[in-house]
Amino acid sequence: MTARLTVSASSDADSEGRIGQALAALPMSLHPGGEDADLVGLAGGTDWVSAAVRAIDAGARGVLVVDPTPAEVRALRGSTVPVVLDGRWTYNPAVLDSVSAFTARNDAESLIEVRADVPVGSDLDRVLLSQLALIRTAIAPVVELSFDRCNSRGWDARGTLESGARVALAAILTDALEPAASLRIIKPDDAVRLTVPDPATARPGHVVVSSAGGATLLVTKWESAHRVAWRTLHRLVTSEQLGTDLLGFEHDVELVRGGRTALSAA
Amino acid sequence: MTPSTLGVGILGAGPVTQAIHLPTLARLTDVFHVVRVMDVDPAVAESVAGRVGAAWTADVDELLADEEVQIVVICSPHQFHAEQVVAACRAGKRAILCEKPFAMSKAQAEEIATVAAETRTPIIVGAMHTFDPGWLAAKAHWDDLITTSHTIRYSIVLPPNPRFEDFATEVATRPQWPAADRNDPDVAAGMIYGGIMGLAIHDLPLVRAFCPDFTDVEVLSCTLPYPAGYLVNLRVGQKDVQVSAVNSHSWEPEWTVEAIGDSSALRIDFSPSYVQAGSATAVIRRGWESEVYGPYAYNGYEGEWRFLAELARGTAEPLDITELIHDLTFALEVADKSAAAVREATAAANEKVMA
Ligand SMILES: NC(=O)c1ccc[n+]([C@@H]2O[C@H](COP(=O)([O-])OP(=O)(O)OC[C@H]3O[C@@H](n4cnc5c(N)ncnc54)[C@H](O)[C@@H]3O)[C@@H](O)[C@H]2O)c1
Repeated sequence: MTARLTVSASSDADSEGRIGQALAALPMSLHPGGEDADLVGLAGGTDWVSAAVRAIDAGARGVLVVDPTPAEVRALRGSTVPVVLDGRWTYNPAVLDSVSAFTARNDAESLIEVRADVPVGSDLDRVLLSQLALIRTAIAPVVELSFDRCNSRGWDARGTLESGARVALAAILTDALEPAASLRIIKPDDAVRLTVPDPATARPGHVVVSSAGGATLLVTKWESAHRVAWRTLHRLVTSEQLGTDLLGFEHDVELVRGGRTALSAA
Repeated sequence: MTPSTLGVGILGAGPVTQAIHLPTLARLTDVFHVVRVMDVDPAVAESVAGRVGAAWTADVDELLADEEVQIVVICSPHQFHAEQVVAACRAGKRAILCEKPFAMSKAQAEEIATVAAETRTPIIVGAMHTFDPGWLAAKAHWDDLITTSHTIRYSIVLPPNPRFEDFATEVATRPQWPAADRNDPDVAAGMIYGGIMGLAIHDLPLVRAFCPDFTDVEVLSCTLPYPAGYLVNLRVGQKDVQVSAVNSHSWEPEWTVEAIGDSSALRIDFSPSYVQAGSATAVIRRGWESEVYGPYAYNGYEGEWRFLAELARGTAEPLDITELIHDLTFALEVADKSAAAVREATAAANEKVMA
C-alpha cells in the first residue's frame, strides 16, 4: 500500500504551484496536513532557501519549491532531506519521456534549440533557470553560456554541452502566444522535438522523434507537471533518496552568473 | 494551347524548371503555353522541351529572338541571372520572372533597374512565398504588427530537395555537390554565404517587411550547423531577428516565419518547395484567440505565374523595382556579415584547438 504523507504549503506556494489540485489528484499518496506535515510546499521567491532550511529544521521529510528564483543553496547541501524544484517545465511527463531520444542524439554534431514563450513582465532569471533545467533534464547540463542579446523582450543566447553539442537558447516575452517551451535537436539524419505547455493545466507536452523513415509521436500524457513533481517528492521520501534537483540547480546558477558577467563585460 | 494564351520561353531547364515551373504551368494551360526551352546542355533542353511539345535551343539569343516568346523565365544558375534579365528586357519581352536571386550585387541590380525602366519591362523575382495566398492574407489582416512586432523568427528544416523534386516530377538531371572541409574558415564562410543567398533569400523579403530599418543590420552571432545550414542572430534596427536553417533527412520539414509583438503575433507555415501542395497557413494570435488564413488551394509558384500573366496583359501594376533592390541588398548584407562572423569564429576555434 502507498504510504500516505501529509503536506502543508504556504498560500502563495499553493496559488503559484496549484498544490491543492496536485494533492486532490494524489489522494492515496498525499493528504493536507498541519504544521508538523511530512512534506512542505514553498514558493520560490527570494528567501526560499532559508524557508526550506527552517522547514527541514522543524522536521519536514521533504520539500518542494515552486519556480525557484536564483539563490545560493549551500545551506541545503548537507541535508538528507530531498528537495524537489518544481520549475516551469522540467516535471512535465513529456520531458521525462523524451530523455532517451534526446540523449541518444547528443554529440558534437548536434544543434539544440530551446525557446520559451512567456508572458510580458515575466521574471527573466527564473525563466532562464527553468530553461536550463529543461535542457539539463531532457539532455544534459549546459556547460558554457553566452548571450548575444538580453533585453526586455527576451534573449538569444548560445551554449554548449559537455558533448560539444551547440545550443541556441531563446526567450520571447509576449502575451500573444500561449506560454510554452520547446526543445529540439536536429541532426543530419533525424530530429527530436519536444513541446511543453505551461504547468498550470494538464495539457500534455508532445515528443516527436523523426528520421528518414517517418515521424513518431511518443505517448501523450495528460498529467500536470505539478502532480509529477509531487509524485516525485513522495517517491524520493519513501525510498529515502535525495534526487538531483539541487545539484543541477547549483550548477545552473553558477553558469548564469558567469554568463551574465560575460554579457555585462561585452 | 490557344492563340490567346501567353507564350513562355525558359532559360535553364534544370530541376527547378522541371519540378516547379512546368508542373505549375500545367495547372495554368488556359493562361500560358511553353514556346521554347533553352539550356546550355542541348540534351537537357531537348528532353525538357519535348515534355511540353515546345521548341528547344542551346542559345539564349535564339530564344530571345523568338517573337512567340512573350514571357521569359530565368532558371539558370544564379551567376547568369543579371545578364539574362537585361538581355530579356532588351529583347522587348512583356514580362520576366527571374528565379532568386535576381542579381549577386547591388551594382548588377541597379543596372537591371536602369534597363527595365528604359524598356518598361515588368520583372518579378521567384521569391514564391511573397506571392503565396497565405502570406497575402496575413498581410491584409495583421494590422499594426509591422510596428508592434519586436521579435522575428525565420526557421527552415530542409529535407533533401530530391525528395520533393521526385514527388513533383521525374527529374532528368541533378547537380552533384563536392564535399568540403568545413573547418577551413573560407569554406565555412562560403557555406554560410551560399545558404543565405540560396535558401534564406526566399523569405528575407518577408523578414524585411517587419524591419523598417533594414539598412541597420548587426549580426550578433552565426553558427554553421551539421551537415549544412545557418543560424544567425541579428539585430535589424529595433527588431530582434533569428534566421535559421538546417538540412536534415528527418521526416518533419518545417518552413516558418513568425513576427511576434507584445499582444499579437503572426506565424506562417509554408508548404514544402517544389510540390503543388496548396498555400501556407497563416495564424494571427492575440492571446487566447487566433485567426487562421488558409491553406488556400494554390501556392506561391502559381501565385507568381498568375501575377506574371496580369503584368504581361497590363492588368496589374508592376512591382516597384527599388523594393526588389532593397530585398537584394538586405540579403547581401545579411550574407556578407554572417559569412564574416563564421569565418572569424571558425578561425578562432581552430586556434583554440592548436593551442
Ligand atoms: N523557387 C524555388 O523554390 C527554387 C528552388 C531551388 C532553386 N531555385 C533557383 O532556381 C534556379 C535554378 O535552380 P536549379 O536547381 O534548377 O539549378 P541547376 O544548376 O541544377 O540547373 C540549372 C540548369 O541551367 C543550365 N545552365 C547552366 N548555365 C546556363 C546558362 N548560362 N544559361 C541557361 N542555362 C544554363 C544547366 O545546364 C542546368 O540544366 C537557381 O537560380 C536557384 O537559385 C529556386
